Amino acid sequence: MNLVERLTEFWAKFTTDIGVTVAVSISVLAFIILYFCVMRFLCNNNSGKVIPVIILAMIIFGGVVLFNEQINNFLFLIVPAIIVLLLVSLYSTELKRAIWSLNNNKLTDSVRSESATDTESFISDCVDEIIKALLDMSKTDTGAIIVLANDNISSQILQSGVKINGDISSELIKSIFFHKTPLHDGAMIINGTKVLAAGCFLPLSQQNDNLPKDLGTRHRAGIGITETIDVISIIVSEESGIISVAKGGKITRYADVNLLRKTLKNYYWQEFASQKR
Amino acid sequence: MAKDYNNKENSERKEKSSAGKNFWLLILSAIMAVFTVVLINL
Repeated sequence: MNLVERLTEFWAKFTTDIGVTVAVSISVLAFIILYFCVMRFLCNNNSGKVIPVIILAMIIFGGVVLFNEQINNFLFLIVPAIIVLLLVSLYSTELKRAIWSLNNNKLTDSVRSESATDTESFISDCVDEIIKALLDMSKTDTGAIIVLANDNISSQILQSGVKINGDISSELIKSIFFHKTPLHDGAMIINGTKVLAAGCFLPLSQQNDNLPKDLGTRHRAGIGITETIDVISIIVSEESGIISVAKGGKITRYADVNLLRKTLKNYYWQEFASQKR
Repeated sequence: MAKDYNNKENSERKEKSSAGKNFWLLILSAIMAVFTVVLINL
């Protein structure tokens, strides 16, 4: 018995057990959820243009199934399998990011529920130091790029810069990005409460069409690293002093103190969650 | 302060457009789901 016959038998049993109307309603609901998730995923990853192509392919597929009963079995198995394989291979990075974000949200919630005041004050100190440095650099138009990693930064990136492994302080951050120092041009990598390295080279963003032309190499590097790894990057523009936050390949410009505090607090909760694992 | 930026309006506008987009995606998903189930049951 092949897979199609087994599926047909399962469907027949399913409909007799719970009634045709209920079975059809359940399957329609399941398909609505499936299609909605896939289309939202495509839209969130700037691939909304693929949706009309998928609809067209479905209409053609439906037509072929209607008029060629003999190749039904083949089409029902092969075509969806090819589409799934194509989507998985094309959007492998985005899928990884989606899975990471699901995992991190759950961890953040679970750890937040057992919060301790000691941890909160400790996080608060680190957050305050980073924000103070960012605001000072913004006022003086000092260009900066800070990557907040969760033990997931590759050794190649760390080795491209200079190892520091120092405690976070606003003075240290400002000194590194002062424009007459050798390390000011690269990215600073922060992992938890330590500044791991500075002067690191990051991969540039690949979304050339979707980014405004006024974003320079620093911003493209800041977005680029968040496209491939589950990290957050904070960028201070050298031209305008505007602070931007990049996460999951998306950039939020004009970040104010509230957004920075929220981003950093979320990051530190994730960081403590990963340490507890 | 000259560099104290407020992006509240921008975020509200983004939320509205995202809700509208989700609504149309849901409608499209419903049409596609009905089409698929009809196709399977033929």
